[in-house]
Amino acid sequence: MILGRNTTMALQAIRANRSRSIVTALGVIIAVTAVTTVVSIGSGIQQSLARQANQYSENVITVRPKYLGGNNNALSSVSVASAVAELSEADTDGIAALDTVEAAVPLQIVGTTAKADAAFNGVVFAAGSDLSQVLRSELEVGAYLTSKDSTSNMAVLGADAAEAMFDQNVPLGRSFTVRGQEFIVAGVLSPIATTPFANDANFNKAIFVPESSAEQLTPGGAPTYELLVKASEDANQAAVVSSIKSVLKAQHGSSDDFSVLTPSELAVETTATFSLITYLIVAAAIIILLVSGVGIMNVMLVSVTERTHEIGIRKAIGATNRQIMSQFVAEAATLCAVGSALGAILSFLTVVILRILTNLSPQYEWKVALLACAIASVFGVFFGTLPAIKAARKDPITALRGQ
Amino acid sequence: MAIIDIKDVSKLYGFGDATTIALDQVSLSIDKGEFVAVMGPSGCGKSTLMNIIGLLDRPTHGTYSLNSRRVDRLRPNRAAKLRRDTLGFVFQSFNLLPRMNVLDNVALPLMYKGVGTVKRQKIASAMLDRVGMQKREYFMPNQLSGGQIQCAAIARALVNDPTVLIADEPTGNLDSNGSLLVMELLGELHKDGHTIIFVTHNPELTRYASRVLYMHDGAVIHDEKTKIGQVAPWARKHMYQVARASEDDDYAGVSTLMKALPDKTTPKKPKKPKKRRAKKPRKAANS
Repeated sequence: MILGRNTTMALQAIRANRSRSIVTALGVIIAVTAVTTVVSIGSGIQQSLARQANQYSENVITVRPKYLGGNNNALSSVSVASAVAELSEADTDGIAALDTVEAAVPLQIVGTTAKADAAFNGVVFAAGSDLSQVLRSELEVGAYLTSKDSTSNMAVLGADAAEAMFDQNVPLGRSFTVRGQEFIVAGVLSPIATTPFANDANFNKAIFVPESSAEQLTPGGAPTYELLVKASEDANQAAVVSSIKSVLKAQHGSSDDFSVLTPSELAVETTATFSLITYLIVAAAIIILLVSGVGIMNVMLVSVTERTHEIGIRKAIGATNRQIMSQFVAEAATLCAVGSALGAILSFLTVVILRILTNLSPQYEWKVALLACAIASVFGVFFGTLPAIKAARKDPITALRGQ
Repeated sequence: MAIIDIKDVSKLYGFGDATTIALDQVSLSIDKGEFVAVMGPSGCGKSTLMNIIGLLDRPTHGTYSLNSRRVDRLRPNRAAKLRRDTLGFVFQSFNLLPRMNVLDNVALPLMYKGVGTVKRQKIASAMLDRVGMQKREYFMPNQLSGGQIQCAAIARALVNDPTVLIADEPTGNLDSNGSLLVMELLGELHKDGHTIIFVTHNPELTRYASRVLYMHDGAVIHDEKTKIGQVAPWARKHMYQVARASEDDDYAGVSTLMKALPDKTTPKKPKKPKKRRAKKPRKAANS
C-alpha cells in the first residue's frame, strides 16, 4: 500500500514534468531497447542454427585443420593454414577406408575469384566426387559432378555465384575462368537457407570444381578448408568421431592439429562467437544504464531543490524523514520503470520490424526484457537514494521559507 | 491543566558577536479551550514562537511541555509524528500542494498516518463539510479564492483532531471578506472546544480571541484575557495608536509602529514599568 500511494504520487510528479522526465528516461529506454533487441537477434540466430542443422546433410562430420591460436573456424585464417597444418590426401583416404564412413569429401580452397559475364568474389573449392552425399542442397538445374568428371573441367555453382556471374537464369554449359583455367557449368545448387553471422563458408557463394583441378590451379598444394565425412546411417556418431580422430592422430604423428565436429558442435562454434558479441553489447548497455542512472540522479537533485517548498509543507503536516525519502526514491524508481517499460515496447517493435525487413528472424526475449526492466528499476532505486536523502534531511522551516 | 507550558524559552541565531535573539526567555502557559491571539510588530519573534510551539523548530534554551510531555529536545521523526497527530498548522501562504485537489490535500496528514485511501477520503470529506467546503472538494487549489483555500488549509490542520491549532497570520494574505470567513470559522471551532493560537497584525481580530499576547523584541510584554466580541483593551489603546510619521522619522528610517510600542528594555514613559510589573504576577500564576 505504501508502494501504491508513493507510485501514484511519483506518477503525478512525472506527469507534471513530462518533457523533462522523458529526456531523463531516454538513457534507460535506449539501454533496455539495445539489450533486448540484440539478445533477441542472437537467440533468433541460435534458434535458426538449431532448426536448419546447417547446410550439410545429416550425419556429416566436419574435420578441420586447427589453425594458429586455436581459431579453427574463420576463412581468414586460411592463409596460414598451409604453413601450420593440413589435411592431406592420405588423411582423406584413411578416413574413407573406415567401415562406418560412407564418404569423405575434402574441400580445398583453390581460389577466391571467378569470371564469366561478370567477375565474382567467393570461394572456389576443389571438391571430391561424393559432394552430392554431403551437401544438403538439391540441384536447381543440371547435375552434381560424378567420379567420371573428376578429371574434367566441369563445375557446380552455388545459387548466388551463378546469379552473380551469368546474365541468364540457366547458365548450364556456359563457361567461366578461375585463374585462367576454363570451367563449364554442369549444375547449379538451389539456394541454401543460411544463417547470418555463421562461421561456415557460405555455399551459396561457392564454386565447386573437380578435385584434380586443384593441382593445376595451385601447384604448391591447396589448403584444405575442411573435410566432410558422411557417417553411415546406423553408425554411432561419437564412435565415428573417435575413430576419425585416431586415424588422423596416427597420420599426424599423434599431434592434435585438427578438430572433428559433429553438426551440433558446429552450431556451438557459431554461437560462441555470437554470445561474445552479446556479452559486449550487454556490458555496453549496463554502462549506458549506469550513465542514465547518473542522469536520473542529477534530475532528481534538481527536482528536490525545486520542490523544497513542497517538502517543507509535507514535513510541517507530519511527514517523517523516511516518508519523504521513500516518496523521492519511488519517483526515481518509477521513472526508471516507466523508461524501461517503454524500452521493452520499443525493442518489441524493433524486433517485429527486423523480422519483416531482414533475414535475421529475431526471437523476442521476454525474460531478457523483464530482467533489463528489473535491473533498470534497481538502478533507479540506487541512484534515487542520494537525492531522496537530501530531500529527507531538509529542515522544515528552511524548506517552508524556500519558494 | 495547561496544554502548552513553556518556560524560559530562548531562540538564538548565529554565533558570537553575530548572535541574534529571536526569543528572549519567554514563559507562557496555554490552557485547553483558549483562543489566543498573538500580536506584535514584524520581527518580534511571533513566528519563531509559533514554530517552536508547532514543533517545527527547537528552542535553544528552556523547556516546552505539550500535554505534560517534554517536547523541546525531540528527534526529528518524533517531532514529525507529534506534528501529525497533536498539532495543526495553518500558514499565512495557505501552503496547499498545488498539484493535488482539495480533498487529497486535506487527506494528506492521514496518509502519513497510514490510513487507507477510502477511509481517509471519507474523513477528509467530513472535515471539508465542517469548514463548509464540501461542494468544492474536487477543486484544485488554484480554482479557489484565498478565503476558501485557507478554510481548506484549516480543514487539513484539523483532520487529525489536533490538541492545538496554530495559525501563523491566517488572514495575512486575505482580503476583508476572506478574513471574515476564516475568523468566523476559527471562532466556531473555538466554540466547539478547540484550542487555537493565532498570530495577527489586525487589532480588530482580537474580537474573536479570549486572550491576547503582545510581543516585542522576542519577549511577551503584555498578556490579557479579553471578552469575546470585543477588541482587546490594550490593543485598542496601543495598536491603533500609530503615530503620524514626521519627516524626521522618515529620515531616521524609524518605524512609526516601533515608536508607538513601549520599549521593553529602556522605559521612557512612566506607563511602562507598570506593564513590566504586570508580566511578573502572570508568570507566577502560570507556573
